[in-house]
Amino acid sequence: MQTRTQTPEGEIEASSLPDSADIVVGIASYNNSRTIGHVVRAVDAGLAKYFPSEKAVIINSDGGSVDKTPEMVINASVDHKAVFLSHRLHPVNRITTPYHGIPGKGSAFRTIFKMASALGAKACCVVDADLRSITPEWIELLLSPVYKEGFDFVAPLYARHKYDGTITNSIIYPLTRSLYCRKIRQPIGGEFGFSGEMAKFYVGQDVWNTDIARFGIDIWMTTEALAGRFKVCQAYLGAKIHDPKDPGADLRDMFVQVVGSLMSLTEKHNREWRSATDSIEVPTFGFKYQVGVVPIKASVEGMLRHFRLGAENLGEIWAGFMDKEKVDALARMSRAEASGFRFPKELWVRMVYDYILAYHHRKLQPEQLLKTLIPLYYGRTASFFLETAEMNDEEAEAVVEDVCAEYERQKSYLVSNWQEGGK
Amino acid sequence: MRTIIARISEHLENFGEQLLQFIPDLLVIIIIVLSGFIAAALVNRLLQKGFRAVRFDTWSDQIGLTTAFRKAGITNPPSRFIGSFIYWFIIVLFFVAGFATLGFRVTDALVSVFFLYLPRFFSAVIIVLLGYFIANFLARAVLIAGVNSGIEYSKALSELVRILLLVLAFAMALEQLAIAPKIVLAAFVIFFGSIGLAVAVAFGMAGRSYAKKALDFLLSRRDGNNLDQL
Repeated sequence: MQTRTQTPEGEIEASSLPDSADIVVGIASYNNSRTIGHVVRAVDAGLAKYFPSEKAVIINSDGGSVDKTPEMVINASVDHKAVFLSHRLHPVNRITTPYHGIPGKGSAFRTIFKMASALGAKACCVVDADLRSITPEWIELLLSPVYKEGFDFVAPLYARHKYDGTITNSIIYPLTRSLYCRKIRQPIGGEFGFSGEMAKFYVGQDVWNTDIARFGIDIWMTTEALAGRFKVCQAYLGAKIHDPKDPGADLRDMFVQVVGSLMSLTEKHNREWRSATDSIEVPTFGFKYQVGVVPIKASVEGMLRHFRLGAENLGEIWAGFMDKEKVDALARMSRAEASGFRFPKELWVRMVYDYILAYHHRKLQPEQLLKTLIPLYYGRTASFFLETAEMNDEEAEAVVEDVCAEYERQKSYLVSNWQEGGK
Repeated sequence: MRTIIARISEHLENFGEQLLQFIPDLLVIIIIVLSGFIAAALVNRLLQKGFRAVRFDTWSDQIGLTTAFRKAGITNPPSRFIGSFIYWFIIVLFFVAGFATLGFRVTDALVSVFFLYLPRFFSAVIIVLLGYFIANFLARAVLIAGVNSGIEYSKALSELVRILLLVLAFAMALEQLAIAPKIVLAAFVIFFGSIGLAVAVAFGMAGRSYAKKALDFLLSRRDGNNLDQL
């Protein structure tokens, strides 16, 4: 028999928590009633199948859903016989609780970290509530490296369409790899495994009034694990398919929060990354297999229109922290025909480094600075789409790896200009 | 002839006496003015040190003050310009204080007017400076938001915001300086009223289809945005 608890609004009641737990699985949600039932069932089955004798708790940290998401968490049930599972030694507790603080994924995770620390969990993982492709095996892959192999942090590794995850491919992955010299392919994947010690470390940090409390949480978790020299690995989970994003959410804000968090972490950990050279592979768990991925459709014409508009209007602002030659090159590119449009990777990488330096040397108010990067990101993404139009996913991946190598080649530019003050 | 010579010598004696009486006052003025130069140099030096400590010039770069000064033909760094301004202001202050020691009715009146006007002058300077920073910051914010929203006329919109805010700041400063306040107020009302009317007429008559297109575009954006699946 499972224990099911729903905490009232406000404080988490100590009486509603179990005394302790070996494993904690956290699910951050906001109006995910369509998918969260499936996620909870997969987690429950995963715990029953791979951790049958461990004390486990599922924590749903909810942002005030109005579509009965918490009820779905409590009521989701798995027919264990149908998936060939026997009864567990310990029941799986389910707790659903509202979180406090700035509305966002980060604040939801904070509540999960706090509860995991209070329960003395040995291994934890977090999964998104909008997942459609999660299977019980994801739970094993995210938890076992921590629980059985002694790793501190497990990043996900997915099979994705070549056009999926363009912020990851053009900025987050190459930059994280170049700075911290470890090849974590999906630093902002959304699903992570981590040790109880790591949860305590996370909860002890004073970042909960920044963008990290919003969408900056993923890059923050990964970067802290890398910069703090924790034992890091990645686990292959297969394809990631999730619900379409909330159409009301402004994705430009998401861009600013993620890239802004990465830049603020670059400030914080500058001693670590300035001395790091030559990226290395990290251990990868899971069985790699070919999987059909959902094709992503995007309008290259629309992206180019955004880029051109930026190049026409933002040149004066860019000139405040970039060389004139680069600004002129952007203006020339903006006049090119769509079919022949290319945004060279060398120029793109140098500009990203210029942005990091401008952020560091406070050349512009941070939010305004980050928003001026969006048209350039559109330009680079359009160029990537055009360049890889005839390629399969593997060939497009090779292009991403080329960009990573370029980031590593030009890292000395960032290091040498860090103290000097940039342009 | 003798009478003329006697009158001249009498006048010269009087002038000499008055000159002798004035010399101590002149010395006082000279001492006050010299003290002014010394005090001004001292304050300037302290200011420069303070500016360097708080990296005032770097901050000025960030907020666009350096660019604004350059546009106004001031090539020196803002810290040095502000230092010079305060230096000369202190000297003028000591000059005025020196003349006040004469106790003449005219100088007394001038000194009173000068000191009474100072708070207004400084308020006006602060209003203009704040207005300039706010106008630049908001104009840049409008430009960036406009570009990221795909609005073609972002630059024009941004310039309009900058001009309106600068006009507002200057009108407030002029009112503070009590320079033709009624005319300033009237001009201000006419200026903003005309803009409001022009925009309303343009949107209502000439730009109806454009307004519809803009609204359709904005509403359609709410239905989907394929920037990225992170």
